Amino acid sequence: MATFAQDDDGVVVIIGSGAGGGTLANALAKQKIRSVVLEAGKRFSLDDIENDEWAMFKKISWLDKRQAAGGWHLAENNPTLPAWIVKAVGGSTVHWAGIALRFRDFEFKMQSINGDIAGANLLDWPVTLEEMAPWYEKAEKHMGVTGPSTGMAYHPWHNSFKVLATGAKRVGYKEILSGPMAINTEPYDDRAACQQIGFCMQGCKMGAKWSTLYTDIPRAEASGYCEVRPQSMVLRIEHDAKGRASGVVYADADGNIQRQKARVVCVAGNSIESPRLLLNSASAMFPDGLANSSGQVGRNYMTHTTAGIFAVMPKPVNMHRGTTCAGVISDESYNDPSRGFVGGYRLEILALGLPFLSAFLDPTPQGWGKQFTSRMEKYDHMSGVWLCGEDLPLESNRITLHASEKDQYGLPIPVVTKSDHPMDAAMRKHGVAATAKCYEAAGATDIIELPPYPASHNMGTNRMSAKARDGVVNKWGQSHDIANLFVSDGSQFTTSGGQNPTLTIVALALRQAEQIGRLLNERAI
Amino acid sequence: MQKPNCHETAISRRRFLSLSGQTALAFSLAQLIPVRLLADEALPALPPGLLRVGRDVFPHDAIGDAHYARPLAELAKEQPKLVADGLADLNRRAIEAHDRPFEMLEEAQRVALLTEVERSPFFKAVRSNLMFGLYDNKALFPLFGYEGSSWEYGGYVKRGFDDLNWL
Repeated sequence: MATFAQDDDGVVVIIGSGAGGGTLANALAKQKIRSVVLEAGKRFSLDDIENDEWAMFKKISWLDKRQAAGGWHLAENNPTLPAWIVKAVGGSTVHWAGIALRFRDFEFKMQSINGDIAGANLLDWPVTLEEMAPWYEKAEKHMGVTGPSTGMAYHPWHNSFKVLATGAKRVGYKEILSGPMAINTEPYDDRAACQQIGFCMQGCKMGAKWSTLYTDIPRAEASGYCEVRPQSMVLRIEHDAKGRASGVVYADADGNIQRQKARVVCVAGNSIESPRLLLNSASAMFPDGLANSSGQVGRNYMTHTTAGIFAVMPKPVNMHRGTTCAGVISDESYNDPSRGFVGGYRLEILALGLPFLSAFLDPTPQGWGKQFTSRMEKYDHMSGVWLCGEDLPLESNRITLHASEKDQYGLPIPVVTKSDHPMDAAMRKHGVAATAKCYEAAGATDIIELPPYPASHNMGTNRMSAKARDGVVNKWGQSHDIANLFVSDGSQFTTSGGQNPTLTIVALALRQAEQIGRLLNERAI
Repeated sequence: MQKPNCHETAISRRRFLSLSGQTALAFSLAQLIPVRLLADEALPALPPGLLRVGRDVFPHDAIGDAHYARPLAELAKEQPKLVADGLADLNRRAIEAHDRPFEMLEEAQRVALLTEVERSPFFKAVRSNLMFGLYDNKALFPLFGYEGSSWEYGGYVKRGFDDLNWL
C-alpha cells in the first residue's frame, strides 16, 4: 500500500471508509487520484467475524459517548445508544443487511408533489431519478445486486419470508420479492455465494454480502493511489485565510494529534459524526461551523419511520435460519396521501437471534415477567418484520454539540434529538396494522409490536439543496460555501425515501468521484 | 426451588422432538447433558431472596436454578450494596403490605411488588444481568430452539432454511 506524507497537499482526504468514503476512495483511485482515508475504527478481517450477536456488537459498533433527546422513545429507553452503526474499516457496510433498493421517482421531489407540509422542512432533491438511473445501475453492478443489472437470481425464500408472503398474498399484496439484495446468490466479483448463514448483521463470514471492507478498500490500496489509516479519529477540518479547506487534524491510534494536508476534503463519517465534525470545526471565519451558512448542518436528521413487529405462529418457523432481511413487500411504498401521510414504506423481513430478541422485544420498564418469558419460549415459532418508511425532515430533529459533556479527545459529544411528525406516527400506525393483518392472515396466534430499534439508518444532516440557503451541499455533495469540501455519506440526503439508503449512497459516491475528477482536471477546486 | 431432574429432561426431550428431522440430528445428547449437569452442581451462595427475585423477573420453568444463580452471584459480588438495599426494600414493602417477607408471598403478590420497583436501579441491574445470563447462554440455546453459530456448519443452505411445510 502506498503511503503519503502528512504535508502532501495534493491528496484528497476522505473521512470514513464506509459506503460513501470507501466507494469514493476506490472510484478516485481508478482515475489515478490520490487519497488518504482516515477511519476512526479498527481494521477487521473475515477471521474476526463471529456468529455471535453480542460479541460482534461489542467488537464493531460505534460506542463512543452519545446522547438521545427529544420525543422519540429512544431518549427514554436507550438514551446512550440512539444509533446502531459501525466503527471499523468498512463502516456500516460491515453490518448492514444488504437490501439494495433504488429511490422511486416521486421521492426526489416530495415538496413539488406534496406541497409544503406544516411542521416539516420538506424540500426537493437537486437531482432526479432520471439523472440517478445510470448511477444506480453502475452501483448495482459494482456491489453485486440481485436482479437485472447483474443477472443474479433473487434469493430463494426462507421460512420466515414464506410465512409473511403467504399472509401478504391472502390480504391482496402483490409486490412480494426476496430482493433486490447486495448479497451474491452465485459467485460474483471474486466473492462466494450466500450460504444462508443467518448472521448478516454481524458481518458476512463468506464475503457474499457487499462491504467496502473486502472490496473497495483493499482494491483502492492495491492501486497504489490510496492510503488507509485506521484508528484515526478526525477532530477538526482546517481552512486557510481564503476559506478553503486546507487539511484535517486527527488523533492517531496512540492518541497523538496529527495533521494531514489536503487538496480536497470529503466528509463521510455517517450522519451523526459528519455534521458534528463540521460544527466542531468552527473558527473565527466560520463561527457556526464549516459549510453552515444555511444553519442546516446537523438539522433534518432522519432515521426512516420504523417499527419492529414479531408474530408468533402455531408451528416452528426458525427465522434464524437464513438471511436476516431477504424479503420485501412494497405495495405500500407509493405516495398516497389518502392514507393520512405522504411518502411510502416497505415491509421488510427481519430476524433476530435469541440474544438480541431478549434485548429488543420489550426494552421498556415493563419488559419482564410471564408475558415476556412465554413469548421468548416461542422463539422458534416467530417471524418478524421491520418497517422502513419516509421520515419527514424537521429542522428541530438535529445533531447538536453537548453544552458541557466532552469525549475522550476533549470535544463536545453529540446530542441526537428527534421527535415524530404527526404523519410519521400515522405511517407507523398504518404499517403496524398492515403487518399484523398479513401475519393474522397466515395464522399468527400473537402479534407483538416493538418500539423502534436504535437507528441503523441515519440521514439528512448535511442535506443537498438547489439553493444555498436551504441546505449544506449542492447536487454533487459539494459544500455551497467551500468549493473543495464535499459530503459523501448519507447525511447528503434531502429526504429519506421509503427504503434502505446504502444503494443511493454508493450511487452518489460513484457519481461524485467522477465530478471531483472533472473539477480537479479543470483546476476548478 | 429446584425442579426434579426428570421433569427437566422431559421438557428437553419434547424440545428435541419438536425440531425438524434434519436438524434434530445436529443436537446430540451431548448438547442436552450440560443443561442437566449444571443443575446438579452446587449453587453459588446468594443473598436470601435474590434467586426468587431473579426467577420472578424471567420465569422459565424449564431452566434450573444454577442458570439464574451464577449470573446473580456475579451481580451480588460486583454491587453488594445495591443488591442488599434492593432486597431490603422489597422485604420492607412485603411486610408493610402483607405482614410477611417477600419470599413467602404468593406469586401474584410478589409480581405486584416487583412492578412497584421495576424502574429502580436494583431491578434494572437484576434484569440486565439475567438478560445476558439466560438468553446469551449457549447451554440454553437448545431450550429455545435457537441453533447459534452456523458458518462452521456451512450455514443453513442445506440445513433447513426453507423446510417449512405446514402453510
